Amino acid sequence: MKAGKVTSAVLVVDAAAADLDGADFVYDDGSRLAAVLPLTGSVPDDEYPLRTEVGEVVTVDFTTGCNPSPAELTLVALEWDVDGGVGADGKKLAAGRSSRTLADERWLRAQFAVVAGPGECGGTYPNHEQFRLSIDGLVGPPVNSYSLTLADGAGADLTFIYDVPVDASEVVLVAGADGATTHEFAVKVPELP
Amino acid sequence: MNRSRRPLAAALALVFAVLLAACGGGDDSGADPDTSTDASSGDTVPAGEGDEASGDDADEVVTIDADLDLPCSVTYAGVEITITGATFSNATPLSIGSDEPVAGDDELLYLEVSTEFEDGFAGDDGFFPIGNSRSPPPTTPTSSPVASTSPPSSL
Repeated sequence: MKAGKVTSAVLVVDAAAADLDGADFVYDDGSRLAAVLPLTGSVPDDEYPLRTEVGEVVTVDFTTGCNPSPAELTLVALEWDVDGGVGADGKKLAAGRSSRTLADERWLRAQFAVVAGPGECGGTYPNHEQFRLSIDGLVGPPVNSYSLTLADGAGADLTFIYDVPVDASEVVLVAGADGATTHEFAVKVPELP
Repeated sequence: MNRSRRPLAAALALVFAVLLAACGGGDDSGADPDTSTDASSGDTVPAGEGDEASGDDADEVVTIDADLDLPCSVTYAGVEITITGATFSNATPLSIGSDEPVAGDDELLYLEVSTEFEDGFAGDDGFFPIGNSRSPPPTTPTSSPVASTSPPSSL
């Protein structure tokens, strides 16, 4: 299906009228977290996204044309969600896969703002490789790829998305060029329904 | 973002399921036989004696409003799924909605569902087969309260 297009279908269920009391409409693909819609009674409010405003400002080194150089980085907010959503550029974050989280994972969206410092080689290049997530000691890149080229003093927003097991206990965002000055943002894992 | 059509059917063996928490047997107390309508046109048809869309009279198609609070919706993968209609009918799945629906042996629940991307969500093809599904599988419904649609072969 395409954006802006409404499609329709008829689903058939073998059910007697009395069966509908307490029945749910459940949509899933067998592996991802199901969407559940009660057929009777009130529809509960969405539990996601779970958003936390952070606002922590640090200085880290990002890649330039030669040596990594300092830039001001703000972790604006963290969001836990069951659907991947879109990034600052308006594009789907979970590119190449379903936006629905696996049943035993949740999406973590990290929203950053970066302002480039004086580069040594004509620009600062923050990209997904410089926004890693450590989950119980295992470090990996975000699901989405995103790269920027910033002139000295220029700023931009970035959003990265990570798939996190629901039973993760220690989650840390590591920002900055590998081998240069980095910063670790501790991420509190909330109760994830 | 990926806007290309992708053969994801194998990975996304889509299942639509209605999980029925309470199986009440043959009590049709939630249905109102006075609201019987023709399955194809939506017109009211006579609700004969003992006419509860149970398939007792295999020659007559009877449709009964399921009396749900509609529309209601839920979001999955950036797509809003809305149930817009719910009716019980003894019409066969392959004939429901046609000009001449055929009465079958079973009373079935027909859910009309529409899908639409959420506001602001980037469109993406191929992962959401419900939009391409219309007919249920041409099999006799079982006693299991589960319905499924076959993902189209193009996905």
